[in-house]
Amino acid sequence: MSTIDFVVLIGTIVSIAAYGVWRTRRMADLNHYLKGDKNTGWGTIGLSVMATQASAITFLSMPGQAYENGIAFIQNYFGLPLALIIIAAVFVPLYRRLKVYTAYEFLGIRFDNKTRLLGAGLFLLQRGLAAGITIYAPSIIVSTVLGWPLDITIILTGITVIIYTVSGGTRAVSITQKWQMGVIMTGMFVAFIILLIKMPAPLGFSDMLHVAGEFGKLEAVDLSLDFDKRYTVWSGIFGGLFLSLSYFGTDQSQVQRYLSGTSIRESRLGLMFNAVLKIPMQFFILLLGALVFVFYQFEQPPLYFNQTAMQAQTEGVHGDALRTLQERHSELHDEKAAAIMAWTDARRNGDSQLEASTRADMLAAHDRNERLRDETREVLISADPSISPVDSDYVFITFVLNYLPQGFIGLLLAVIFAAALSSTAAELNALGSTTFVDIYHNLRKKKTSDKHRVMASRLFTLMWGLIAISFALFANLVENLIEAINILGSVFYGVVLGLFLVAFFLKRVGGTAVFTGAVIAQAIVIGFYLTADIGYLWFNLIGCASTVLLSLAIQSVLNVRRGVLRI
Amino acid sequence: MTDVESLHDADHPDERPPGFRSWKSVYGFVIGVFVLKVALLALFTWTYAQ
Repeated sequence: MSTIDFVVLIGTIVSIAAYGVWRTRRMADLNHYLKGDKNTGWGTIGLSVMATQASAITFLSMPGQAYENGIAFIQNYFGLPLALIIIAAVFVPLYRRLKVYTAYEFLGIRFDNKTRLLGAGLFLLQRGLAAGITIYAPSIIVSTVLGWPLDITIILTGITVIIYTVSGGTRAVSITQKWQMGVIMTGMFVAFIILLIKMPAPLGFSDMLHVAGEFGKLEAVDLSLDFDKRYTVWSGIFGGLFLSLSYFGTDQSQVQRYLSGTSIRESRLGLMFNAVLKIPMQFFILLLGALVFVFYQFEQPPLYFNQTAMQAQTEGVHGDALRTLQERHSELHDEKAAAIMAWTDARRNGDSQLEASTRADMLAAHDRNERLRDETREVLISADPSISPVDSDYVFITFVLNYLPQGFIGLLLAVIFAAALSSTAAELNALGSTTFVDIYHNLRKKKTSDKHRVMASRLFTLMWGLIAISFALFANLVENLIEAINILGSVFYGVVLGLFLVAFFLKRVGGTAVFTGAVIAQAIVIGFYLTADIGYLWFNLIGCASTVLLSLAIQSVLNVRRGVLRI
Repeated sequence: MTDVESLHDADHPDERPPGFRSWKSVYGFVIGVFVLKVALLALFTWTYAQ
């Protein structure tokens, strides 16, 4: 990486963090610290909600996902607009009119203190672990490709986010997220333009899309009712609705974003901003990945995108086998590029016979190349079983480092770190607030000064920041850690959503019934996790449905006991 | 137990959406935009991926 890239990266990240600290230097009261500036408008709220959801791994992984499997992932966001409408119409007015600081405080008002502590405890457990991953995941990729020490990358990222989040609270998070989102969108747009300019073959934009489409990368909508397919319109609408309701409606890292600001109107408009713009934004990032695929049809891609791992093994005992595969890959690449150009010319000229034959040639060359990549992975894994068979996370960053001009590489690395900081800041802010409001202040019940409260909130935020850094530093000791965290999240998320759905929609159910129902439901989910061989996303549904049904059943039993059953 | 429905009172005039008559019309607009986006994505798929 050149000096200018380094200056752009450090300059962008540090100046945004410093600006956040400077703008919030006169933080006086708890309300300001936890809820932010009273003048925060819907634009800032909308960008803040968007920046919280978009972590660094979104910008590293999604283009790679489109490169490998196409843009069908966009359908996962189809439930999001509907979920945000429900949250804007039902959740927001309640949270705001009750003047709660956290979503779990609402559970305390609606039910009782034990239910509040249960909701807050489940959130702290799940999000506390996830905050470490939000720092670890981009650090491992960036430090691998740039040769930076992993520990130093994690510690510097963690300290930067701790400084402005502890210092300025919610307002600092919102202010910095607005600028970080600006950097992210500018960087991705610049990468898109440079990709189009640098496209090696003489292709128009429409030709590029036809090439991507022919290799199955542009199937954005799948209306089939096939449950085995990972992404369809139906799984996106129903599964996405469920997940988005849970995430945006009950996760304090999101709730805190839209509870900041002037009024219900600003909160609602901030959410509607996301309901309208989220799908186009994700489509743009996925399309970028599909076009990187087209780019690499004419410019030779690495045989395995984690080139650090590839390089290490090429110098080892499997070097000869890998070099032979590399030679075959180069020959095949030239053959495939020629076949794609021949197909494009035939398509442009409307020669259907030639189009069919050249199409068969290019798809056959592609299949041979994919088999070659599979062989390479097998050799790499046999040499070192810790090497991942999936290298898609390295696709976009490899393109950035190899093809973007000096200065722009720094900008794109700033995009990755800005995304990591923005989502980590929201998580630490929410963890600190929940620990202070729902645990410390709630249980202590002692009148304290505002100064003491702000100081306590800051200390809890600092504590979670240090926990996140420690967890990220030891994350590589656990195999498949990211999947482990996703599983852990799914084990708890469903029960939390169940608690809130009962609170909002089943007004006859009281605290004891919902608390008991949720504890039993959590035990059921953990039982399924330990014994049943089912996809972990189903734990969300099982947890939510069990909480709702058990709460209803237990309330009915309690009503009978109290003799209040109406027949 | 708090009756949460009592908190769903009418919107304060200051909280009405700008440029729309009511929040229902905002939500209708967002759903309309969503349907349009899915239709455009389906057209995109049909044009380039079939």
